[in-house]
Amino acid sequence: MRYYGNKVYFKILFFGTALAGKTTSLRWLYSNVIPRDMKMTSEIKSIETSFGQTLLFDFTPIQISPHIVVRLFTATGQDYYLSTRRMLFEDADGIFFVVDCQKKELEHNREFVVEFNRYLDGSEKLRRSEIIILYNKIDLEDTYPARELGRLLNLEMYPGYEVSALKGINLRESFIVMVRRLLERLEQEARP
Amino acid sequence: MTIAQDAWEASLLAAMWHRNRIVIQASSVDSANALFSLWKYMVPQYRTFVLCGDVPKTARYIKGAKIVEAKEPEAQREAFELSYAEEELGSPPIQIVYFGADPTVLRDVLSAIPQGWIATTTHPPRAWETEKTRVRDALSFADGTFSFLDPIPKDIFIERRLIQDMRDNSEGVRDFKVQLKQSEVHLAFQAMLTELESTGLLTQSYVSEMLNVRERTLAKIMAIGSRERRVDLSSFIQRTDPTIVGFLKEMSSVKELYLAALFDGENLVGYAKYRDINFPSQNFLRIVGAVGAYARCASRTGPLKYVEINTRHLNILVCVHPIVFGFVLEAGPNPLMVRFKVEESLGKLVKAAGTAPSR
Amino acid sequence: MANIKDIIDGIMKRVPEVVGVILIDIDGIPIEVAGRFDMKPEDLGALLSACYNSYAQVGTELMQKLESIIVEYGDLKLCQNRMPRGLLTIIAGKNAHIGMIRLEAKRAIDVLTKMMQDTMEMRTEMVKEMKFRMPDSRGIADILSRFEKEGS
Repeated sequence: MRYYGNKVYFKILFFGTALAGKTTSLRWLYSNVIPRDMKMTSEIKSIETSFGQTLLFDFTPIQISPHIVVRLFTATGQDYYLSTRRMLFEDADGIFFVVDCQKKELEHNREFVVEFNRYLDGSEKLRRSEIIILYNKIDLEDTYPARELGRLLNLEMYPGYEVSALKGINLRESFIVMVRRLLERLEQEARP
Repeated sequence: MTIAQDAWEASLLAAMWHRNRIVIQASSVDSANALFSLWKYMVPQYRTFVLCGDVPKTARYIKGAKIVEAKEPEAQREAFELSYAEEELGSPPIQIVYFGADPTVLRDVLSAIPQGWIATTTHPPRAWETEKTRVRDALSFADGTFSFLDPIPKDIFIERRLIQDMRDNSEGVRDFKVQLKQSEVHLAFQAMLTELESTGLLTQSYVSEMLNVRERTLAKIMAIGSRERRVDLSSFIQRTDPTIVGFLKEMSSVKELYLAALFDGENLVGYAKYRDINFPSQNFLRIVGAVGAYARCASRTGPLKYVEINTRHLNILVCVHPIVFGFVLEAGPNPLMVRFKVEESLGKLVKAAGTAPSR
Repeated sequence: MANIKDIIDGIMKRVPEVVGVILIDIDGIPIEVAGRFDMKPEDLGALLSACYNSYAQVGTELMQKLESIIVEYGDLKLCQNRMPRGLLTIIAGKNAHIGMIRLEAKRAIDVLTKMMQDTMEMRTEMVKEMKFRMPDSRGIADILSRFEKEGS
């Protein structure tokens, strides 16, 4: 978290493989969970490259109280933009790791778990961040249940939700848990 | 060693490296064989030695050497032709060495192979010279004579440099340095072949950057490669436009310059490295791509024209004209002055080439 | 005593071709903005930060720390400069003299760096003294209940 002027800023990052559902999750939350008066911009800003319009990242800030701003980012899943992804991890207070539950995506997910662990290993600050796993596409055929996939990916130590980003299943709940944790941390920090 | 000795050693190295046909003549076969042994280290070791004639013990132990045991000239010729033909199927280039060749062998057997053989003999050229085996050049010593049946390659700057560099080295170090350079050139040609298999066409600038070689070295790689693999790549490598070559030469007057690269679309069409630096030219395109991405998010910026990235010791300049020109410079007290010089030369280039230089 | 806003406004006054100056933290949070932009400061901050960081990667490949970037478009010029705790971006019209902008940026950075350090110390004090209105348990519950109610 960062303090500027009379505000506290939190950063929440959606991370995961390409097409795991990061942008869909953020868009669903923006449309269905964030009250209009909290939205600081009229839309989610998407930054794309010139080659084939590959997404670099999405961004939207929300003001949840007069003194608290939460900045929501999605990190690109394209490997070409690995450096951009690494940069987005810096100073993240909360991370939603979006995992594609489809069986065929297991290896791809594993690669991202390796990358994720590398970031955590390299940053004490990041290890203290709030991490929630979103087991997405649970409504599709041929998927792993969250518990099994968590075990296969060695992500069981983090709280997780079975979600459908497309239908919004469990997204609200997981978002509320994330914000609650960040606010409780802020409250603790402010406590004399 | 004298300068004159350096010069003939360089010529001998070039002849062996370019697979030229060589006849070593001395008063006895043993003396001729000894001369071959002395200079054998100049033959690339990745070649497969095909030995024939009265093969001395010292040569029998050459790693991977094939020995043609046949005594009949007809059978020997067939064996050589077969080995030579196998090169076209992808086997390593061969180096035939015939020990103690008589005039019949030289006239009727070896003359059938257009390149890649060395023979030792006691017979002077007048005993074996024919239309097919005409001596083009010769080097004579007290112990014998090297007769070259193919012209000595004209551009032998690499050979000269190597010989000068090895002047005071021991035999082992000379062997190491020659084989290292020859393997490097051989592998560079292989890399070009592999790249061409996937792309079909390469620009000279791209190859220069990929192999980290200048134009002259590239020509050498292609010349030796075409002799060994019998593939002429020159029509598959697009040469750099002379206007661009002129521009890159002019840029060498900017003493702060490390590197310059020009792109037509995504193709590298001009490349020059003035000082040693490790900076892939594709970075220039990445910069333009990123700037474009961010500009699209804002409005009313107009088209991208120029990017300057300043670090403590280096500056990176990228001009979009609309061809992309990228430069890496040493950071100086006045980057504007350098930029002015670069833009002045760029202006001339664009003017000389009309709207935009072609490849 | 001048504050961050005065420094930023000063650049705009001295160089008429400058159309905007924005000071962001290294993560893109807008700290001070002068001039008119057709983007919200939050979006602009995220954009400029991402932009700068992607160039920084190029510097990393050269094992060099990025200090500044200048980008010239057909209609505007942009000069971004690294500071210990942030990023100063000056945006000017196409006719602006880039040397003048460099000079303004250099001067401003020296002052702003010192000023931001002071501000950070003051802020830490304020947090300690509870001058920020931090949400208590009830405040947290209120915020979260808004997420629960929205759209459901």
